[in-house]
Amino acid sequence: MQNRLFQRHVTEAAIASEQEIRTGLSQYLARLWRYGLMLSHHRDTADDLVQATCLRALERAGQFASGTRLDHWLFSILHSIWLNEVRSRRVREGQGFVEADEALTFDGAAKTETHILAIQVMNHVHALPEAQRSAVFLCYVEGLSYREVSEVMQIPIGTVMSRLAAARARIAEVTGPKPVGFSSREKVK
Amino acid sequence: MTMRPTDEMLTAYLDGELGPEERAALEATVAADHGASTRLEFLSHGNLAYAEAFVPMLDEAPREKLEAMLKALPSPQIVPANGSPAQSTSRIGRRGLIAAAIGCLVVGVVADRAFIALQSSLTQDDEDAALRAEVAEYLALYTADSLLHASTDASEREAQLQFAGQRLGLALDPFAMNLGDLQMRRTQLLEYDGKPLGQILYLDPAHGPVALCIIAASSGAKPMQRERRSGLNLIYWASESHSFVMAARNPMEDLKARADEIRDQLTDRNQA
Repeated sequence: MQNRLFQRHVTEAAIASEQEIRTGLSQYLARLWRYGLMLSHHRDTADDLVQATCLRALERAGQFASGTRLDHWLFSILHSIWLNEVRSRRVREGQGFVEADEALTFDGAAKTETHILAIQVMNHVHALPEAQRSAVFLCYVEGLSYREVSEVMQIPIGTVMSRLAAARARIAEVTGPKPVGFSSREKVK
Repeated sequence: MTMRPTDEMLTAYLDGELGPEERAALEATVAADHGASTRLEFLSHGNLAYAEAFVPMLDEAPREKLEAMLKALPSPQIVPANGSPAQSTSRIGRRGLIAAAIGCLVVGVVADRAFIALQSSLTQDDEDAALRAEVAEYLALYTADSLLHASTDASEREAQLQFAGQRLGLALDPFAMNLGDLQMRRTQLLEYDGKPLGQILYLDPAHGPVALCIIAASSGAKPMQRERRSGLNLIYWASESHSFVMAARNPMEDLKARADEIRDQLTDRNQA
């Protein structure tokens, strides 16, 4: 009976917000694609993720609360499609995941020192496990607060904190001088 | 305050996420505790120019292609605000079925039922896999050190197990959950998809943390299966009422033997 309910509930307000969502989507396509690439490490998958996100966002235009951040809402849709539909399917099909350098061929553009530094930073982030990587990306690249990251990723704030702390420790281990005293990694090979 | 601040607290401090009082308390601790200040300094090396570094990736986006794709998307049937929330559905399956349902309104009820049945079968496997991915990723963050100071006190362990058991609707006790040379370190309740998720953590002296995760599930009993995720070995199975995932760095055969042990014990204890 759901299908008929869909039709009955299409209101003027929902139609108006579909246009709003379309405009927003067009503005955020590149950022959504970048997040898709971050998660999947695959350009084609990033394309598909953006397309699925657009479709889902338009379907759910009526669920978007006007006055809240549209970009964050779109990130959360993309994240959930990745987590619930795309990633698990890819893992089951045994495609596995490619290494960061394989998917990201920006090295050719590394002409200046700034570029080289940027690539190093990106490589540090890409080397993180996926859960940490998306938290780092949303928080440090997209500038979301812990609360906003927890909403996008649908995880408790405490989990956001532990992922960011673990990611920081991991990156600091590679970039900083060797830690003195209690490193969490000393005892485990 | 004698507790050394956790990495989480120090990170939240560096990220400007602490309130004024927490910040002041942490600054006082760091000032008084050399270990904490060293750790803070260490973690601050994770401050990199992230936002700037990722700008070039925006230029890599195939903007024109994506714009064209967006333009080509038809106005969909809008899901009402009070409609069913973010159910993960297969796009193709769902669209195909909506079209089918519109095409034969006479058999609408049948089509709707098929739609619902297909929807649940399509998503169940994905959801199970997503849970295992979460479990593996979460455990991948643990090292032996994470559990080093967790209590091994027998009464506390029993209380934790009992509490988790109540929430999960499953009889859990230290004897059933005993895994020989593996030391049970902590039982905690997490939440997954709005449902309580029990996690029992063991420490294997040879291989590090071992996690057994339990969640209520009604998709029927399933035999044991194995897979690798996030560098860990996983064994998973389901009873009529619960799903189980065991994850560790232990060799697969070793893990399987331990999973067998737990499954048999739980079956014995949870027979009606």
